[in-house]
Amino acid sequence: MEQAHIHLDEFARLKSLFHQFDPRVKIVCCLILLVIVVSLRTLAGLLFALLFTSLMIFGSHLPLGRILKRLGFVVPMLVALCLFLPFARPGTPVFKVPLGLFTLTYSWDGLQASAIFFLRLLCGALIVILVTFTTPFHVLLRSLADLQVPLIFIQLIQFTLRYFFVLYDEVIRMFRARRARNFKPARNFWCGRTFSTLGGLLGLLFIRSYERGERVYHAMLARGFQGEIRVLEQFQVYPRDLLLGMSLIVLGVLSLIIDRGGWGWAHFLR
Amino acid sequence: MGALLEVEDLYFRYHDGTPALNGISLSIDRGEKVAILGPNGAGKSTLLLHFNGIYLAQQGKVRVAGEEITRDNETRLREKVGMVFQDPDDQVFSPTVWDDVAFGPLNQGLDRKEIEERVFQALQAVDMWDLRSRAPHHLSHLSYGQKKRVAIAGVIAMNPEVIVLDEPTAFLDPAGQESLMEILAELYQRGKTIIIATHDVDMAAEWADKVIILKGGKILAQGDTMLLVQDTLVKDAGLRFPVVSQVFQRIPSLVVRPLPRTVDEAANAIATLLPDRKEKDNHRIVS
Repeated sequence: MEQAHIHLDEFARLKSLFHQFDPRVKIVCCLILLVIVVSLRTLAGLLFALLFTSLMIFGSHLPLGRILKRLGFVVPMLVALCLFLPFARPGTPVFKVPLGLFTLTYSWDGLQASAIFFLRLLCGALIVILVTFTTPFHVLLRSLADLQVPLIFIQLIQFTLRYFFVLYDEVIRMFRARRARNFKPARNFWCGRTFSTLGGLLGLLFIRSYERGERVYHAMLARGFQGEIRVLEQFQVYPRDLLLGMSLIVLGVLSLIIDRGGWGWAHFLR
Repeated sequence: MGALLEVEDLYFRYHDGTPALNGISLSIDRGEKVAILGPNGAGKSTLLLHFNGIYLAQQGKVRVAGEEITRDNETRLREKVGMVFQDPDDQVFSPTVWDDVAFGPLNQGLDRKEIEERVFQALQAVDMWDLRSRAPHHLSHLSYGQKKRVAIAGVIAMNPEVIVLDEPTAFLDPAGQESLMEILAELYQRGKTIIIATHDVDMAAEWADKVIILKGGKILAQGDTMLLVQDTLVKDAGLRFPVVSQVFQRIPSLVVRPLPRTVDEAANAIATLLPDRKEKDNHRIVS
């Protein structure tokens, strides 16, 4: 099946401060930011984090439409959270749903908790989008290697992304071949015939993937691969990279201070 | 012209004990166009993988430019023998066409300027420079034939002396096959030694200087393309005559010996059989 597959480096060649940012410093700083963001506990801290992550996205010149589309994955989670979490958490009631034997209470505290969880998710997603959209894929992998991430892990990421669609197309072709001979999957997965046919298909897919893996590895060896990822880009950390990295971490720390009510800012606002 | 590639009494068995090659000996000279033919399971692809040092000889020797391929020198010798695999999806794995073609030169440790120059030359040679930013995994970006050309460019960029292609015309449409043959002709003009493994008897007859016929991991015969019209040999090898040869074989009144193997040879043979001298001259084809 002809699929419109994603293009990994679609926006990685744009010109912006974040595109020129040394990828290794960028990864480390964003990782620190990610840890800070997920440890924030108040709406104030998280709103500040959302503000600066949004500014970072804005400064990277990435197309807003595509960012929102990518964030679309988070929306169903938000809806589920806002619907169910406030019922599960005790606190000041917003409204009550009497159900005869018991009453469900939609709490203000629960709503606040779901908002916090959502904001953490949103900020985290924006940081990850920033890193992945502004760094060419092979540069990202090379940077991970430079940061001493095990090579096997890096190669797993590389080949999973490259061959996911090839294997997906293989599944579609195999499935089509079965349908061409009148195979119709039963509604119930536990139907013996459906189970054995789909099981066979999966098994075959594993074998084909294994064989393809062998061939890909041979093809890499044939072009001089010796277990080291090489890229043309020469990495060099400039003072501006350190400055930008420090600024990001300072912003993260600032959000942490706001989150913990440091410097008496909350008192000052009152 | 000295032997560039030599195989001496080569044996190979797969891990499960299945014998793949049984005492192969051959020699390929610099600047030759060689077609390795044989039915499925004859050992063609396994033999090609030995040329590039992907498989090392379990018994026997494989030499490139007089140097035996061993674990110690395989990486260096791979720069002399480039290999294009049958399925371009196995070979083309980088995010963009440009990156993929640069993969080999990067592994060779070349400097940036040299890599950029090689990638440019290689992509120009296969007429893919304009598509250098396309993503190979993006099916709407590159057709199968284009991916095949990228795979060839990836090997050209390493500037090997020998280019080995496994089933180069498989799954290509006629236009794609023609384009591939033009690329091979261009590479040959540049002095490359080209070896292909194929089932395509017509292509081998048209293109090769030398054919090597394999069956069951053994060489049945090696020599010029006349071998492709030897009745017993072709039957033993599970092959068939080239289509143009079959035409002459099926019309007993067309007594032309040796049987033509290429379109040009056939056209010339027909021209000589025409009764009128003037007509003959009009139809004579000069290759």
